[in-house]
Amino acid sequence: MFAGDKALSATTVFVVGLASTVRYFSPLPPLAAGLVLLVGCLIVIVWRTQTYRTK
Amino acid sequence: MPGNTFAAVTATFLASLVEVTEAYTIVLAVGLSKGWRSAIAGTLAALIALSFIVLLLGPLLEQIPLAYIQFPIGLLILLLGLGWLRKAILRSAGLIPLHDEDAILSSTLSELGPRSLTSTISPVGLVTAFQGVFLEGLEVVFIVLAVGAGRHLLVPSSIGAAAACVLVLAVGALLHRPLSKVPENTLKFIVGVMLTSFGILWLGEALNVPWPAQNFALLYLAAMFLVTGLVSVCILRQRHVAIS
Repeated sequence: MFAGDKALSATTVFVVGLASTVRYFSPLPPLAAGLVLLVGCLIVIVWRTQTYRTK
Repeated sequence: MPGNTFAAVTATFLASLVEVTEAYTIVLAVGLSKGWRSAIAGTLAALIALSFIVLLLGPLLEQIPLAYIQFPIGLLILLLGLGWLRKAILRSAGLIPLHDEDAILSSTLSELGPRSLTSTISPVGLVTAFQGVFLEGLEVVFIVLAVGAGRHLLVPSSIGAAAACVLVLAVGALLHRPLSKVPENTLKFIVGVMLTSFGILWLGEALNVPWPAQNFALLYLAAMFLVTGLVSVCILRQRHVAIS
């Protein structure tokens, strides 16, 4: 089910971890964590599609 | 119907439509090759097993406070949504082939071996039908549980999934051929966008993020991923054409 693209899964988990860190361990407002989550996931999907190479 | 309930029903209905269409092709192959008794028996056994999982896990998850399950479920649904969206973008751009139900029917028929239409149940046919329906259905069960659990949306999500099942089976029973006309990739694209938006919204809520215009957060999150996905497809298509 989640075995498609390991890099996508790993970077998504990283983005979620980063958003959690921003939320609980930084002086930034809570909305900053949401922005990290949203922008991070948008970057991940663009990265994992635009760098795809056909074998 | 409130916005989130409507979105949950739509997401599970469309996701199920994709998965059930794929499962139907395998059942059709079993029916044509090993007889309809084996195909129906395998399908029913798988549907019972899947219903059992929903009936067992659903109420169990409903008992757990939302605060505890929101984060892990949000993460899992985000991973699933991004995976579906990535595949749909690559398929729309022509970088990976579209799901071809006719080709899958042919390959499943050849895997099943010579045609043997007997009145008894064929173990090979039974197992193949069970496996096909169970594996495709497991993803639907996961989506139903993830979208529905903890928010009292389990019943509407299950209704969405069941409606897709009934629709595909009814059309399949009439046609007796693979449902190649179902725009699987478009559906996968929409479901990918919806699941990703659900995942981000719920992870944000688990982190106590005050989304601006809270009631419309799902809409603008989905709009952003939809636009990003469509732009990605356009860029990839242009690059693909330029290379070839």
